[in-house]
Amino acid sequence: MAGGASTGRRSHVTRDAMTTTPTPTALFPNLGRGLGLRREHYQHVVENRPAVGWFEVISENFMGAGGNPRRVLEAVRRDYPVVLHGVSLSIGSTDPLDERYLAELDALARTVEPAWISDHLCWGTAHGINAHDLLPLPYTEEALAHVARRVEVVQERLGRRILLENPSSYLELDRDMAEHEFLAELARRADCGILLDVNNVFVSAHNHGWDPQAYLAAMPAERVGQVHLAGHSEDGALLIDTHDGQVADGVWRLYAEAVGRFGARSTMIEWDADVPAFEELEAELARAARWEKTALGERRDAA
Amino acid sequence: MRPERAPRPSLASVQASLLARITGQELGAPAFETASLIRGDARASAEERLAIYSFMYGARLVEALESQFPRLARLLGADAFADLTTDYVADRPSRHPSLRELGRALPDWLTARRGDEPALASLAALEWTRADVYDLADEPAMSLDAPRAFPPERFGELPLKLIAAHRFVAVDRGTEALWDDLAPSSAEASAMLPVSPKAGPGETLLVWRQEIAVYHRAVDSEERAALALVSAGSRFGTMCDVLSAAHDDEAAAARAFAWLSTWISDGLLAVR
Repeated sequence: MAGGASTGRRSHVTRDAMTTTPTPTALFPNLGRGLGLRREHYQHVVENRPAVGWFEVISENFMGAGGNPRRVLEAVRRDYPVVLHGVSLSIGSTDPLDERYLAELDALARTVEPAWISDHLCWGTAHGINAHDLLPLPYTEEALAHVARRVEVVQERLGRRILLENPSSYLELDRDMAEHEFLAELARRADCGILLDVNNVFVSAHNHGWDPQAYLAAMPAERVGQVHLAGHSEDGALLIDTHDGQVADGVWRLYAEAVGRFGARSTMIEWDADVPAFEELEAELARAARWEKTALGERRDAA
Repeated sequence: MRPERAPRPSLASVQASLLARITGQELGAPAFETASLIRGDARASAEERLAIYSFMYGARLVEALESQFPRLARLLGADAFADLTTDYVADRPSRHPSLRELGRALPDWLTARRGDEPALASLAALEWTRADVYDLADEPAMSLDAPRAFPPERFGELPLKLIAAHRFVAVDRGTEALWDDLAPSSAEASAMLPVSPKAGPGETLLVWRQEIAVYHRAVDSEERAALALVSAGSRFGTMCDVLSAAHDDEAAAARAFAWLSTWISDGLLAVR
């Protein structure tokens, strides 16, 4: 694909190059504000080329060899930077990494030339059975060593750094450390990036009684390459990461804190259920721009 | 955090145990007490937290199957479809990274489990095949310019090849009509259809994609055999020769030219 943006070029990161301390602007450029590309908006995006900075696509939805998904992706890629976001890597599983999946992901990446590839800090398979869920890990030293090794294997296989997203969760397993400590140490040890889902921080912090500010404070700023924002729902005493509505006020405030800490990062809205008209998503992006501007202004004042 | 004296289970055994509880699958996992595996608190107990994942597991897979088999879901109704697919997933849990593959075994499973209602398996087979063809590889389709430009005296040498984005599926007769009746635009499908649809003897449907649209139609045994030849990379003359075994030369040529015209019009032939 042609792809005009320099950020779309395939990175030829070698193992030697990956051992140097990353500079965030070089490794994860700020693409501005983007959206998840969803089936409901394929036609609108292709025909109207809305003023959106970039699109995130779910990798698995475009792994077929042809048909409409590939046509849409090629058309979108001609006009926008694209990042690939997977849900099936199962980086934390003790099952072997799925070589078929990695091969398909690598082939897709070679075609799309994404700005980067991300997946989740989670696991989803055991004994070959796939739950198709983003299950939380036990945050133990054993798990940290295991996941760090696998991240290195995947990065070697794909020839690029990947970003891992903090999951939303409704249960905690026995652990040695907090999730934010695990994620920060994993990013340093495996030399990978972090996709910071601010809504997930908010949801999990509520569900488990974590301190969301401590979570943000633990993140190595230079490795935070992308931010997710989304809506959630209440289910009794817990919050559920439903991606079916507007971003909550508390999440916007936490986003402003993240921007204050890390500066502007490529930020996008996830809206996957009860998907609204595209204009509503653009309105959410406009809100994100206002929150970012305010937070950056306060950051400059503080400096 | 946890008592020093209690040995910590391995990551693998924690995952197997948790996945077994979420999916209901027998994984030979150690039988940990839920409370020893999951941290509960005043907001929700360990069991309540686990139940969220179990519920979402079932709902997610049923929803994925409903998107792959919308007409089967319409035929059965929401509750019966959810019951059926829950049983299916229990029997055939997902072993593929992509949910796209979840429904691949459903037609055969229905044949084995609901053999008294063969129309269910046939409808599922047609829906699965259509879903499968949806994102198979693209390739340029032959236009009428190709045969027009081919030297008439050598027309028998015209090379033919079926596009990759096609499949044949064996179904019970009546499946096409059932598929049509269950279109989303049709009124109250469940009120129109018999509770236990019966099917007739079998037939073969050709399923293919032209541009981004997926089509299907019945093919008789003679066209099926001709398409098999073309699928193997045959030439027009070979097809005529085979037809000549059952028809006189004029009728064989007429039939071959009619098929060629239809196949090109339908986008079934690839550029060779």
